[in-house]
Amino acid sequence: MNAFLKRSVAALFSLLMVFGVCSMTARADVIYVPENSFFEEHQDACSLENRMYIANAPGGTLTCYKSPESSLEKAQLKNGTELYTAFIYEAPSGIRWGYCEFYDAWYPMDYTYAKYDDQQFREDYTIKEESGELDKSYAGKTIYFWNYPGGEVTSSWSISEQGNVPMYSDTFTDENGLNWGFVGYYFGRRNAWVCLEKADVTEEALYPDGKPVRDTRVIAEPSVDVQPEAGGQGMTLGLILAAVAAVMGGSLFLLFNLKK
Amino acid sequence: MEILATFALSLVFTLLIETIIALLFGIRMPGMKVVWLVNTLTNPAAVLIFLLLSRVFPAAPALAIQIPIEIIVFVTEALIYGLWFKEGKWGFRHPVLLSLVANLVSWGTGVFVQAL
Repeated sequence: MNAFLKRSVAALFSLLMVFGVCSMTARADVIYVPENSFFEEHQDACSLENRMYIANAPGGTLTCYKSPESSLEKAQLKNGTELYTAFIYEAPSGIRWGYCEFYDAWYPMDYTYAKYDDQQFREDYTIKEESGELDKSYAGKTIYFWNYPGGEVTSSWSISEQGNVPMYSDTFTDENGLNWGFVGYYFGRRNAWVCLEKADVTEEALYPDGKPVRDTRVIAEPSVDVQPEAGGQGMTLGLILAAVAAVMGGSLFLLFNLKK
Repeated sequence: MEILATFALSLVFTLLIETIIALLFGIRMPGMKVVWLVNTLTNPAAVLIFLLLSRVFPAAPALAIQIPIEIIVFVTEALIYGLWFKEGKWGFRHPVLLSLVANLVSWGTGVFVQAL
């Protein structure tokens, strides 16, 4: 076996050993970033949320961390940023941390508020438990589904000529006298509302003078200071910069010495 | 401590991989010291820039941040190998190719490991 082949085989074998011992996530050059396993380790203390929240932190920026026990910051999000919160972890201290898969990061729930949705709507308004099905006269027509009565159209669906109409389990009568039905599931659509009398009317046509204001909450900027629980404050950015600068400076110094 | 681990492990993996590549290019001591020092110079900076940009642009794909950083690292290392060690001193006969291959392999290794 010639020298080049020996080197190639040795290199390949070495690389395979590197792959084998690398059980942690790494990025190049290699830039190592540990995997976020906090949820797997604390499942018992996590609850499913699957709800949209909005960042609302002191100072205008929400800091998101690798975990509720890590000082490693994953993102800095401006207030108003929407976060689809998949899970909420309740720490032993009682502080609740939300997890957003999009950013793969955790943040204090005290620094967010729920986006107005069906859940909030049901807290604010009286909903009647009344089941039924949409009138079959909508067969062959396109109907619109809303996140909540007077909210936003989230999807539409063309009902077949055979008239396979959605069924509803709750109803609501709005300020204009329109009746709305809550549809739990219909061809992939979950937890949506339809206007029973005007299911095939678009958002603009249903509210030509503007939609009713549902969200009347007053959201104040929180003042409580929430930091990751364990691991202390960690190194500040300044210390990290100083450490990196020191390492780079030392390397440059030694390189210059070698060059001489 | 966690942040230190990020920097330390990134540097260790990079040094390991680039040492192997340098050996393939026929580089031995004292040239290998140059390889180690060059990567100690560039890798912590690359990791720091990546972490900072990831925070500033959390929705950006990782590759969109990594690739420009890798280009800068490649150019920096090639310049050091080429300008500082002219005429193939200490085995640096192909500085640009060395930097390119070393950084491609180390970058590719990182991407591969992440995909596992």
